[in-house]
Amino acid sequence: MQKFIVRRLLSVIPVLFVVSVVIFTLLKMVPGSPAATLLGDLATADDIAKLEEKMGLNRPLVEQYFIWIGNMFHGDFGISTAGGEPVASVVFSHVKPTISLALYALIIASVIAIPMGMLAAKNKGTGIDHGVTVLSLAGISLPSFLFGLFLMLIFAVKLHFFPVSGYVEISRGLWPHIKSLTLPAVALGFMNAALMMRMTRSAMLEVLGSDYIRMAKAKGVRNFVITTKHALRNSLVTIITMIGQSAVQMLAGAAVIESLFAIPGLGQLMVNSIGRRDYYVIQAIVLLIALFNVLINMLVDLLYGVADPRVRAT
Amino acid sequence: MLGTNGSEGAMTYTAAQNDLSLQKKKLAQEQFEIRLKKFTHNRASVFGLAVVTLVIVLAVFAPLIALHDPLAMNTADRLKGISAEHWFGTDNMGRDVFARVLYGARISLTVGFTVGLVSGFLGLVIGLYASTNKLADNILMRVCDGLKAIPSTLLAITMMAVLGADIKNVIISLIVVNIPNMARLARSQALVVKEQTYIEAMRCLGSSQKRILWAHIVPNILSPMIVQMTFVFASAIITEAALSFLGAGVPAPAPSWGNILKEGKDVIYTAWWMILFPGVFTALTVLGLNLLGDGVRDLMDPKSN
Amino acid sequence: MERVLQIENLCTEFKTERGMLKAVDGVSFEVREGEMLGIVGESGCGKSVTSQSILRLYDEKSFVRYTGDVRFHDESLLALSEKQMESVRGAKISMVFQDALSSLNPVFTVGDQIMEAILIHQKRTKAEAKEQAIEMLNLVGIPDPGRRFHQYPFELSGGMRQRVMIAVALACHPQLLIADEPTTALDVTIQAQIMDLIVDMNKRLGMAVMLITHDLAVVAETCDRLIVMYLGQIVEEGRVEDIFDHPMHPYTMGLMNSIPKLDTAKATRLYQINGTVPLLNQIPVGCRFAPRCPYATDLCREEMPELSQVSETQGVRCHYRNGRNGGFVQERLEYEAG
Repeated sequence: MQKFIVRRLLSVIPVLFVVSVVIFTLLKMVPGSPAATLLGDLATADDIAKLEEKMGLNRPLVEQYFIWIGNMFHGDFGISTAGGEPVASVVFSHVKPTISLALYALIIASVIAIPMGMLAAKNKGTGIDHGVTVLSLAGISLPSFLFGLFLMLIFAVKLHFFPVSGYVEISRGLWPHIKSLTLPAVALGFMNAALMMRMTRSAMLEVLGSDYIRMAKAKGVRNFVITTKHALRNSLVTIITMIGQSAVQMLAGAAVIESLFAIPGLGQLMVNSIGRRDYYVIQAIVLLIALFNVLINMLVDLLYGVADPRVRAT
Repeated sequence: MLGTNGSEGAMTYTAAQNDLSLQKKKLAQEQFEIRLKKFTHNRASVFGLAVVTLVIVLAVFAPLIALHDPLAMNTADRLKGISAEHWFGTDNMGRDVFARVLYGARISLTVGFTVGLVSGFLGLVIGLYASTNKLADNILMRVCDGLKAIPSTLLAITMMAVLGADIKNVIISLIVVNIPNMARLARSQALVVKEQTYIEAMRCLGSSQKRILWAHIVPNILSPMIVQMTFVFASAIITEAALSFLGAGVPAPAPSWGNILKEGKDVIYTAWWMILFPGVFTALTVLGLNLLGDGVRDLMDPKSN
Repeated sequence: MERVLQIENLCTEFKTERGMLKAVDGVSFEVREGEMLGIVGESGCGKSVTSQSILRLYDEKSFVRYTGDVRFHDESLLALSEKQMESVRGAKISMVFQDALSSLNPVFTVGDQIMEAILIHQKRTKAEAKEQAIEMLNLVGIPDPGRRFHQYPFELSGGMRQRVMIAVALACHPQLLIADEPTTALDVTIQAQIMDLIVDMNKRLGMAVMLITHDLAVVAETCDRLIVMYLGQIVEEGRVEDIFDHPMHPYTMGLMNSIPKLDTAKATRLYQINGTVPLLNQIPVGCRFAPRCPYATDLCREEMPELSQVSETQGVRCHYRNGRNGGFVQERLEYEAG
């Protein structure tokens, strides 16, 4: 198990390296000099050249890359060209709403999708199964921003059940906070719920068709226990993977949903930064989410070891 | 003496091989026909095919079907509801939503199809190359892992931010985003096929690496690739709509579905038709492609069922 | 001897895309207390389906339909509720399967899996169940059972795993053990050990065993009675000595001739039965074996023979049952003449 953990930890390094190179390359492809953007229209060529020198923009690319990486290790992600604030603090101030939203969506998706997927597998070929299949197809085909728009149109504009947009902080009460996030969370969770339903169903079907389930039945184990203990335990690896991937998907999908519902999270910050050509902020957000993704994947792999003794042994 | 023997042996071998491959072909043909029948009997796949065909027809004949210019503004007719003149109503600039939706189908289909095809082809080439060369495999797959670590929507948005809003850039971004998955699929499929006994046998019989690759491995991995391309087609339509919706996709006056929805969002209290119609078109097209993809998968690979 | 299990006219049908398929078609037999009964046939002949039908292991909601009667002592199993059935499975009738690696749950320890059976059927505390489970491991000949108890199936050898599966099955001392090809997946030397274990358990615990196999040699060594199945039907049944001495059905003869013998000259080809078992949706009219039978006549191809007794202890399903190998020729000549 220790060897397994160490190997898994080491495998993160090349991935993060590639991620950083990709982001660095993208940054370098931005037309115009960041120094010029930072100084604004009134800056002279001399001013720009001076700042470029200070920012190390006139050194060789490889050197610039290592300076960039080195700065990030010290928590220096550059200065936001829009507000002049350090990028780290700008990004940090937008983290909370995104986490709330993603967590809420993840809970909605898991709570609905996993039992439904199990139910469909258990009742394969029946009406329940067909219903779940249709529902998951609908979910996969309905982009989250579109579903969000439909929800907004029906539940906010026509029925007034929820606010059309806007975000209420948790400090102003849990209930208003949840209410302000419900439509966005449902919109964000639906597509993932659909994927989760599909995957849970097929994972369960595979497990339910296996010899050890037949053996458990031949032992006299109750049907309910077979599903909840034997089968669920064996599909756990799939379910863990699914939840991990969904968490990442939700952080990414938040970009669109937050813009739609005007939630001041990372996603909205990112989209706004595109308009402001604030590339350092974009870069920091992408890096943060990629890092989160890599960490989640690692966590998922480590959880495999807990869920499956065979993995532990390798 | 030895020479004759050798060529005789070779001849019998080719004859046997021809016979065998003929039989195999016939069997495959029969199986394909059975599955084709199954496909046509599967209502979901037929529905998918019908929807996709319909959208293609609407897009191709948009100038003949739509009575209005999708870009023609008419301030007098702003935000008018559905009527005989404007089937899907008009938008905040008085443009005909029906015409915009039909022309929007052209954009979505062009983006989806190009992205599916090109990323599929590039992914195939990269995946195949990786499957033959250990060093390249290591490097390429690490790069793919890195690219995949950035969620695809996010990578697409970032690329659009750098490249600038433009339909060409949308296509480029989405191709880049989709290549890693395609390459991984091609590579893993190629590695599976390579392990199969008949490929082993060909290698022992002295077929060249190149011939094995193109004549035997590629045809065998093509079907999962095509299925995956259908799904990429669908997801590219979604992402393009999302990018345009965020203002980072196809630039404004163009009637992309995402653009119509973006403009509709601003007038959501008055003009529900600006959201409903392009929304339903987007969802149905994606649904159709997904159903078609499922159908094609069953058609080509009976095991996946 | 008292009957443990009596099966009458059992039919098992599966719902498929091409309609109902009858995998077991009117099978009747009994298992007596303490005996070893062998059921033999090629794959696809319905022997496994028969055995799994006894415990009703198939998904009954949408997939399978049983008719006929399966009586365990005086209880009709097909009439029981699912809940009542659960108290039969593993407690009164147990089953071991072919592949122990896939039949044992990979994520639970060996001990957990034995204890689970005990805790379901018997009122025991965890500590008692653990003790009993270790005893079972000891009984089936696993060395160092205290340590093995905490191991996972993948950590054991194939033979060990098969022993564990037998321990799971025997944990509640069932009166009947159904062993479905228990040795097929094992090495030859291990096969013998596992068969010895099953015979030993049969003798020591006085438990009846239904041994399902395609290996006639194993049956000859271990069983008291024998049932030969073909395409969902019993084609011959009787005492092992009788059938081995004079097999009546051409299929049984074929199976027996396919066993290689030491005195056969090396150059002679091994006997084989022509053709393969047809699929369930291509069941022939008339005698089901007719298409592959070297002695088949028009009568065989048109009319299905009944299973009928030829002696007190032997029954056969063949139109030409009154005689041995030569008898077929004799009767066939008579049939053609008259």
